Amino acid sequence: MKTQKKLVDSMTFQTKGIYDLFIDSCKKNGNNTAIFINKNTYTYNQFLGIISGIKKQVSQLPTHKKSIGILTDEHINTYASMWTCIGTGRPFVPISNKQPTERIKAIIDNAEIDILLYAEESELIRKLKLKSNNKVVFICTKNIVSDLHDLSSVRVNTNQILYLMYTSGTTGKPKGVPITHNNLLSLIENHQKSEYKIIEEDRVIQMFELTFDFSILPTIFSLLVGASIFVVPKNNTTFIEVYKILVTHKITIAYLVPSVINHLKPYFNQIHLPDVRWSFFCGEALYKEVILNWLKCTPNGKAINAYGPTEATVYMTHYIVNEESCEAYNGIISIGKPLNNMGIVILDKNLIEVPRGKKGELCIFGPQISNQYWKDESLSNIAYININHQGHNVTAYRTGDLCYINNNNNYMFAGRIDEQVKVNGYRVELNEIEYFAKQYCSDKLVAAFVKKNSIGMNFISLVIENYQDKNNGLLLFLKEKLSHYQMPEIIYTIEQLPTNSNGKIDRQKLALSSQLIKLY
Amino acid sequence: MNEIILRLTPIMHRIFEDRSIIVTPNITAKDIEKWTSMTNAIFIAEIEQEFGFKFHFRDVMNLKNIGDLISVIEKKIA
Repeated sequence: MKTQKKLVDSMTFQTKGIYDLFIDSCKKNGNNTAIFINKNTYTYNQFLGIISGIKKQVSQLPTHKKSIGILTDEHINTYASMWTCIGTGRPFVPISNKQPTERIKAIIDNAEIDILLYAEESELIRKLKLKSNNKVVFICTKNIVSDLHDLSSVRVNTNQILYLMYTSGTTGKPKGVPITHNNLLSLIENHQKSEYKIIEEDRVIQMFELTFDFSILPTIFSLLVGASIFVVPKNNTTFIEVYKILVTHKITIAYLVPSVINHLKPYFNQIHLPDVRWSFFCGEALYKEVILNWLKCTPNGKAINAYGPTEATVYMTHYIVNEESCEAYNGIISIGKPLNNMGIVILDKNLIEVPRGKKGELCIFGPQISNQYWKDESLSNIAYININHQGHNVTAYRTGDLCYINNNNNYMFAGRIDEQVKVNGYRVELNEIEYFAKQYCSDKLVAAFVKKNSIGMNFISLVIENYQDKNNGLLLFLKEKLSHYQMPEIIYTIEQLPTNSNGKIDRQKLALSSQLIKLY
Repeated sequence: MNEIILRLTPIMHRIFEDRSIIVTPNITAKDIEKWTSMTNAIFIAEIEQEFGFKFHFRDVMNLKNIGDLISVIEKKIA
């Protein structure tokens, strides 16, 4: 029999599943605010009622134990749907409604989704229904009535998949990362043992798309301890909405991506957030100059820089930032040390450990690491490797991040070894953009790259060598294939793409080139 | 108001990359495809340069549409 992971709460060791902990939290905090969303407040009791209603509907369907897709509409029932899946022991797959239909269909097929929960009827749903050939049951949760509190949960094998997150792939196919109950229980234990653990009195901001795994901290962890979540309304100018929520709801824990505070930077001298206890950053590089000034805006708070790819279950290293010790490389704050039970090795091209202080690829292992990509053995064999570490055989995930360890045993991020970039916290494979661009203009050389705009922020660009497009055909084609966050902000043409001494396209030269001619 | 609209129009056309935008007081960020956190920051910076003043963050936070923006500019340059 598998041993269930131990989970630590503030008082005692106990062996419980994630949904059991949630039910305990609901019983204890019934009349407290669970979620504030779309100007409405829902108590734990009301939220559990909504979950129970959806659970009842899902339970009436024939059980195939396949995964359940959740379209991430901005609605209380979307959050309730996540908990419904956890409570029924079914893996959930968050799917952004901002993606092209074809991409959503590819995820539905790959994840073997047989139920799709959504909160709002839309043209997208109509198209998906047409494409599903009755293989998927579509359930609109909007009008499901709350039910009597269903406090039961299904016993799950903790090696069972809890959720599948899809990230950008290099060959035009999104890749699924399966995270098990064990993976997340390990993180919960680490997180709730730390000094930045969430407590019942906390007021937590939730600004993320639910397809971004950083959202697991505010949406799942907060509700396990009785804290309240405040959801940022989706708007074109996210950073302003984030600030309004921080101020209006006296947020105490701010889970943020660094680009939000980069946008707030011009106004730091007017920002005062005395209620913030912890600013917790993840998802992209955090710059020393920005974070030290942000700390002045949160005079009673501390900051954490956390690091971890989706494959490592949200985050697996952490670094507490303060003015006295703020280690950085090229201005980027250290990613710190691994969490308890998690391990890191830095390997060279031949997968040999590099000497201390030398740069190499960051490879990670431990109970939070997913051990494969969903139904993609060949990709799994490339990304996951078996290594011997200090006499133990472990399966390590190759992150593709270039790092070194400094004299204080803190890990320092020094760039990527491949063509993956981070934009607003999303991981984007430049190769995937090029893959689709080449599909459209097959006889042309193409390159996706990152440029900086006039305020120093990164954005994705695409260039096609010697190209003319009169009917916006390429732009429309890419919109059908790529997620919103992968779309190039600007598409250029150039007479000849610059190359380096190896004959490869030189993306750094491209970003600075004056020969680029804007197409869109 | 008309003079401010005349000065805002080329800035908006350039930043939001859409020469068909007709600037009216009722336009909001939702009406313009390329109005994002990033282009908003550039837009604000360009207005500050064009009209020669600095926004207070409270002003930026409370902007609901172009009409609100014009009101703030009018007060600042008065």
